[in-house]
Amino acid sequence: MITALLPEIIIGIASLFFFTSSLLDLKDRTVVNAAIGFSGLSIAAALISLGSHGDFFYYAYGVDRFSRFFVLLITGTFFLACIITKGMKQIPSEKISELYFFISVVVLGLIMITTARELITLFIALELASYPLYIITSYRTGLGYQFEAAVKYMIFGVVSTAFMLYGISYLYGAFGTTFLHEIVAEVHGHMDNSLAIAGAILFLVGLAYKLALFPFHFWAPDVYAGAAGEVVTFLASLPKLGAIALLVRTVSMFSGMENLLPVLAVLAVLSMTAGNLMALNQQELKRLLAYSAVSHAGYMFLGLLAPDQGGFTAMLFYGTVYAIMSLGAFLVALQVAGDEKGDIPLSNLKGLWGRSPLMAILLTIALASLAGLPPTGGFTGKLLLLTAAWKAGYLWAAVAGVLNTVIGIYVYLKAIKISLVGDEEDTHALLASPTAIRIAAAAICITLLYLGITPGKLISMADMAVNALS
Amino acid sequence: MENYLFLIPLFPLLGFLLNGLLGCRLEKPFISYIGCASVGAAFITAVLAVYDLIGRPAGDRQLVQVLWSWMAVGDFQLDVSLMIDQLSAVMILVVTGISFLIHIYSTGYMHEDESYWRYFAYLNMFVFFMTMLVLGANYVVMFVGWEGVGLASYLLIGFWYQGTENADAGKKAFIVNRIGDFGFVLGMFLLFTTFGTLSYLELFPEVAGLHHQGSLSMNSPVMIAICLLLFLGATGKSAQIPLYVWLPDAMAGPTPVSALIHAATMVTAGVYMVARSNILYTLAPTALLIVSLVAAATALMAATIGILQNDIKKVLAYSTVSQLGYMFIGVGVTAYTAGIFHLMTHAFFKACLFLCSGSVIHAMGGDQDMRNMGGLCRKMPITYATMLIATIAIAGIPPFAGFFSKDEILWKAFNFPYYPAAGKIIWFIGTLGAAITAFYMFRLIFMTFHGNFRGTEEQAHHLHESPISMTCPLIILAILSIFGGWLGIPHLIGQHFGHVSNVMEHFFEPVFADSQAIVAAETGILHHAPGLEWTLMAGSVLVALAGIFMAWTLYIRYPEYLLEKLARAYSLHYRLVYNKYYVDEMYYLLIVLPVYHLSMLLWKIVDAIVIDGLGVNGSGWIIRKGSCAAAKIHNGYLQTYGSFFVLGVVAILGFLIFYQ
Repeated sequence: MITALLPEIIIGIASLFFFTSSLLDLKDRTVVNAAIGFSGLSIAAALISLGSHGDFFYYAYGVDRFSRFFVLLITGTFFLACIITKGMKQIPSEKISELYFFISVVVLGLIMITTARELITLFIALELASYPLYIITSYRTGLGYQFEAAVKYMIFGVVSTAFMLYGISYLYGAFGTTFLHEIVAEVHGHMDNSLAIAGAILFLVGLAYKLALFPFHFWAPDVYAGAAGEVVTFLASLPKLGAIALLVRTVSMFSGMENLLPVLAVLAVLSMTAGNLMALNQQELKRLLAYSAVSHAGYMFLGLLAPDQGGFTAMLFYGTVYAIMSLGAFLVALQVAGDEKGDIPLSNLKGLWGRSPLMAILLTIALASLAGLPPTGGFTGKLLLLTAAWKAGYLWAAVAGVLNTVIGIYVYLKAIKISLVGDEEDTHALLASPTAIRIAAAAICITLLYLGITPGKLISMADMAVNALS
Repeated sequence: MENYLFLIPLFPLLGFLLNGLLGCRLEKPFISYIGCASVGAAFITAVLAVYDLIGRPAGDRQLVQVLWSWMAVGDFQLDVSLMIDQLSAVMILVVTGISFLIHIYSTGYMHEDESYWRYFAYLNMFVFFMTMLVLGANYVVMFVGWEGVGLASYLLIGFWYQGTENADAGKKAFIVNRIGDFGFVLGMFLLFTTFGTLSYLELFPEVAGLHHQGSLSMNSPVMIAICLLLFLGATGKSAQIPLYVWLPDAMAGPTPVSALIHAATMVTAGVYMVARSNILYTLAPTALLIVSLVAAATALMAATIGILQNDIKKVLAYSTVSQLGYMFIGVGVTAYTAGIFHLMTHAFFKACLFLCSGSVIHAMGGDQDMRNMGGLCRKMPITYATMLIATIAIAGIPPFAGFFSKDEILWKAFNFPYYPAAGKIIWFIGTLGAAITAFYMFRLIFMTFHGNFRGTEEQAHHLHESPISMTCPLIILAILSIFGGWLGIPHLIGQHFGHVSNVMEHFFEPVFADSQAIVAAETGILHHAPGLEWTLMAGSVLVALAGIFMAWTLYIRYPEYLLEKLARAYSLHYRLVYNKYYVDEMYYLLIVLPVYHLSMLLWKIVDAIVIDGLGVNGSGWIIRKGSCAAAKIHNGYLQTYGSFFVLGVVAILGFLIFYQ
């Protein structure tokens, strides 16, 4: 039992540690290293708990292969993000401990989201994973619109939470229970029940907000642009994983509902198109990545359309790749941010090849992966998603996906071009990144290429996780 | 050892990455070191692997390493795997060994060049792809290497890209090769749809088995089609009629590149491919007939063009085309061993010849015209001696390497089992070509090294022997040009020297066993009186000597006088040959011009108006407008955002509730 819950325990201890350390006067370096240590430890815990099973709190909390797959993913992302953000340039020194405290709570909440099997527990886990994010959005030195961003983020969050709670109440009304296993048992009798359908949709809307799916994405660009780079690194990768896990779990329950999947297909296509179109003219790197998140949310929704054709597996695969490639992009963004504490315009990338070839290679690979070019993991992931959607009969959605890829390629190649061929005269000095960052950069490059060339291992892992659902 | 095969391509790949990515910041000695050491390491690994191979019993000589599964779609399973058997063993030793020598030579030859690092990066890239081509254990890996060496060749031909002519030569090589590759790819597709696999170890036993069961007859149309399509690929890569035209132009690249890529290794890939697919060809005698006839025609035609070329490298280029023709005659008359044997000896002496010509060009300050040379033997003794040895070898004088391999090919052609009558014709053409080869090669020697120097004062002053880094590879290659042929001494001669056996034939036996069995079953084993073989052998030596004598008469004994007379008496022939039979002009009129006009038409109307105007720019315009519209929603006001959020929810719910 202890092994099954080991990741939760480690993260819990971590949050207590950072809560205490925020009251003490520790050196920045110590705190950052502690965060890296704790996150590394949590990966080990996740690995240990990978194969374990167990039901807790009267089936409200169930550890299975699916949840532990995501726990491994979340802790891995947490660790990588801690290394990438270790510079903490845009965060006021006295807030660093607090930042880690809140992020630990978020991670705990996300782990609970992937594991909880009861609607109220799920709701609490979601809130646990959301509120700290509103707070840390405002942690940024200088500027001023981080507060605006935080308020927007919070209000949006509250609205979506309200919809979600509304949905939960409908579901309770339709099924008379909040336990997922009891809902699954009865779901076949309620396929045409309007109450159940409305409940499911409202519940999904709350998740779509988390994933920044059009038209529930409006918070994303403003928050990405307003918050500190370090905060956005966490915010752009971690919560998405929780949202993907819960989406897959929910849709696997309700996929029999007629008309539900076509609606999701329309949302997917709308979101990828809108995201790509809006990314087209962006000059600020974080804002561009926000719109990129919108379009990727659309791509990932394609996986939901094909529950029986490997769509979920594809979604898990793509979620993993997405976390890695967006972390890669943010790694570069943080490196070129400089000390001016302002935004990160694309022109900061000029002459990157001359300043730091490694960063230029990483940016190229990460963006190529986001665009879906071979031989990167992003290509394989998109291929899996599109073929799954196609096999499930949504040929038009798959075609729309391919067309969108073309627009996406333009968006990302523009940034790559600036970094590779920008004239070197108006560049700043050479980029001297710390060794840990360089190692992380190289690791991300290698992983993305590895997943592009031999995706078999991860696919089979994702397959096992998805099989645990039914 | 099979677990270390991957090291052979890996070393040059690392060299390429190091020199290619960091080369511009490295010192020249370090670049040379990386370039040579990586290929040297690959050579040593190859030697170790082959040593391991030879240590095994003859039936078990196969090292296979599966690196990873590339893709598995349905029934289609494709591994990236490497394999060394007897055939690839010889190839890999030749490729890595000669590459190593030429890398060393290049450190001297390219020393002054500004883009020194780029040169070595490309050269290492070439070696990487060439080793993949040779070691690949299925057609797809071979094709990856096949395309890769084409790319390296293109980059190196146009290495001095400042000159339009060089860049054009590179493009020509690339485009002509693409035509051949088209055939190769179609051949692969047809192979896969017919037999369901592209892996050598599965495909060849399957084909042989099907033939034994009787479900695959001799000369079935599909086999002929496969073989001819693959051969089309070979005509591109190995410069045979009708796709040979790129090779002479490819001489625009640096001379060591010509030696390595366009003489010793890459251009022989087609011969290797046919030998590798021997079982397929053996089952398609018609395809073999076409291969050997095309090869004989190429051998003769290129040799005649070589007679009147004045550019020292052009002579060697046409000579290469002609010699490749001999190799294809060998594999075309089912004498696969002989073809590969000639490939090997040719790699030695032709690499030597090219490197010698490089040494001469180096001394002449870049001048390649033989009319400006003469009398260089006193100034460059090492170059002269090595080049003379290689020339005797290519002319086919015993006991030099070329004699044994060429003679075996001619003898086997004479006894072409499937088509004896055609075999006699091919033998005759081949022997005639041998005489012409001896003539033009000695013409080259006489014009370059004998007589009086005809260049400018400045050039005369500048003449010097090349540095040791260049002469050393020459000497090694010259030695190989003498002794390399002794690996394949025919039984007829060997029995008089204490029963020296034909090492080559013996070594290759398991690879070609199935093919030989099929040939024997079809035609019966032929026995010949040793007298006939002696006669033919003596005949081919005599015609070579006659060719040499002709060259001596025309260029040493009575220079100028006879030549002019001959040129006037046969002015039509003279002009025809001098202008290379106008093949380039013919291709230009018949293919390039029509394609050019058609493409202009397509460009002006279809592309510029329909595709660009309506398609590309039109859709781009729509997307830009869409982008502006989408950006307008993001006005920063929370109430706008909230409205969209709620509208979205309402729309979905409305659709679901009321549309049911």
